[in-house]
Amino acid sequence: MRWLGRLLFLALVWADVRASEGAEVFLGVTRSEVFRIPLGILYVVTPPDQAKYSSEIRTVLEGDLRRSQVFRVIHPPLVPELAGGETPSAELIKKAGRQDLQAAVWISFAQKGEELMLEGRVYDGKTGQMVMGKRYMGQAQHLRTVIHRFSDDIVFQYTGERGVAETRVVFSSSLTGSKELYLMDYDGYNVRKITGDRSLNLSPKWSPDGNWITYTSYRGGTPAIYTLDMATGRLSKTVGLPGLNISPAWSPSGGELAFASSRDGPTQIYRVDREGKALRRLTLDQSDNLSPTWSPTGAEIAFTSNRGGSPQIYMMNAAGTNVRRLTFSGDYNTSPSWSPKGVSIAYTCRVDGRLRICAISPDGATLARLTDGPGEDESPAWSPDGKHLIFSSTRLSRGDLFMMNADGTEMERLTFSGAKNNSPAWSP
Amino acid sequence: MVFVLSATGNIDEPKIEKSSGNAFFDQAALRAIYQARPFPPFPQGIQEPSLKVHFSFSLTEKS
Repeated sequence: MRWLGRLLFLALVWADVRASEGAEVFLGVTRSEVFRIPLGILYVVTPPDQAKYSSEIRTVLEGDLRRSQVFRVIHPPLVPELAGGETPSAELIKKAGRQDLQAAVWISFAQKGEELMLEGRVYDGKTGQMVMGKRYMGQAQHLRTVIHRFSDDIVFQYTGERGVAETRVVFSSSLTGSKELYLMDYDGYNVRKITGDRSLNLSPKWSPDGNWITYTSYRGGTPAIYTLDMATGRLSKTVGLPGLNISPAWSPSGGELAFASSRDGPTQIYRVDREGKALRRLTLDQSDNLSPTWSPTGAEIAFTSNRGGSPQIYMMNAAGTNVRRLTFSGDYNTSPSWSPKGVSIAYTCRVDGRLRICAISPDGATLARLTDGPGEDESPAWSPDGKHLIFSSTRLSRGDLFMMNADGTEMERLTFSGAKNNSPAWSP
Repeated sequence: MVFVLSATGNIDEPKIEKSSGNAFFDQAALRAIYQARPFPPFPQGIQEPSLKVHFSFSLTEKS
């Protein structure tokens, strides 16, 4: 938000400030709710025999930029002068920008053997000035990753925050007959199996640094919590208390794991450190408590409890004190997920007899139902920038993952395998 | 929002002077102020060591 600093600076220059004690200024800014920066890809230059990559590059980049919610992708008429492959001049950009283009993208791509090189430039459509230019190199099979990285760099340039096009999603799928964990790019591509337990693997969660995936598995008979090291592939048992060990959740610092265990009867929420030691019980009542989710400060935990007679979302301090109920609407509210910016808790709610995705502010004041339509929706998980939710739904199939904006708009189906896909978690 | 802006560009804790009625929006406005730090120092010509700034964020429907 550097523009805010500049706005204040200009306002101070122009403001008529009287030299009195407690001098005060009144300023303001109005933003149109659906404004997005108009952006167009002017040209993708490739060697003549590699022209086929041009449309893939366009499609992937336009999808990433559209999903960022920062840009509105438009398609200006082709600029024939760019066919020669030379980098565009400011005059050419201004001419192309007459369609009210604010950001103009130019790409040069070439693949040599097993390696690719992509040069991406973004120009200001009005002045023709180059805003950013970067060169990316990689293995040929990583073209999508390179484009995702360019998109995240563009979003960073314009907003100061990286996009999420390079992130991935872990989920549980019945494709092989049992429930294994799978990994895919955030847009549903490059699906690959990461567990081979031939058992039930559920509720995977990422560590905050993205290096581990922790999940519940029945591979040993009773459900225990395991951690998969994504770099080495090493699997270790993290929690194996008697009874059920389920719904793990890492604290934002990565130092603690919250989870639910039935070692004392009904499931209670516990926390342990990363070595699985220093076990502390957090919930103290006689009902079932599970599905903990940490606030981004690590100071609080929201969870599901039926202590009030029906499954509802509650909140407590990370030490287990100050328990208070958050949801009062409906008879079934579960699976809370705290947004990374702390402003919202998404959860599964039952509305008119069907499961939906709802969101509530942490003070309980603002509540919204985000999904509608056929089938049922559950298990919401936030993108690391808090702009998207991913969830599982039976609206079109036996169970697939869908992505949508945090306000419930622009829903997009991500999985198509024909199996039951659920329990998604979005990487940092 | 209201906060005190010093001549060096530092601000004290911004506060919600009047809520929009929507917690999401209030938080987004607070975040905008935090992320805009540090502000540039006062231009010459402003003698005050600090200014109390009332900054309002408004959202309208795009027609």
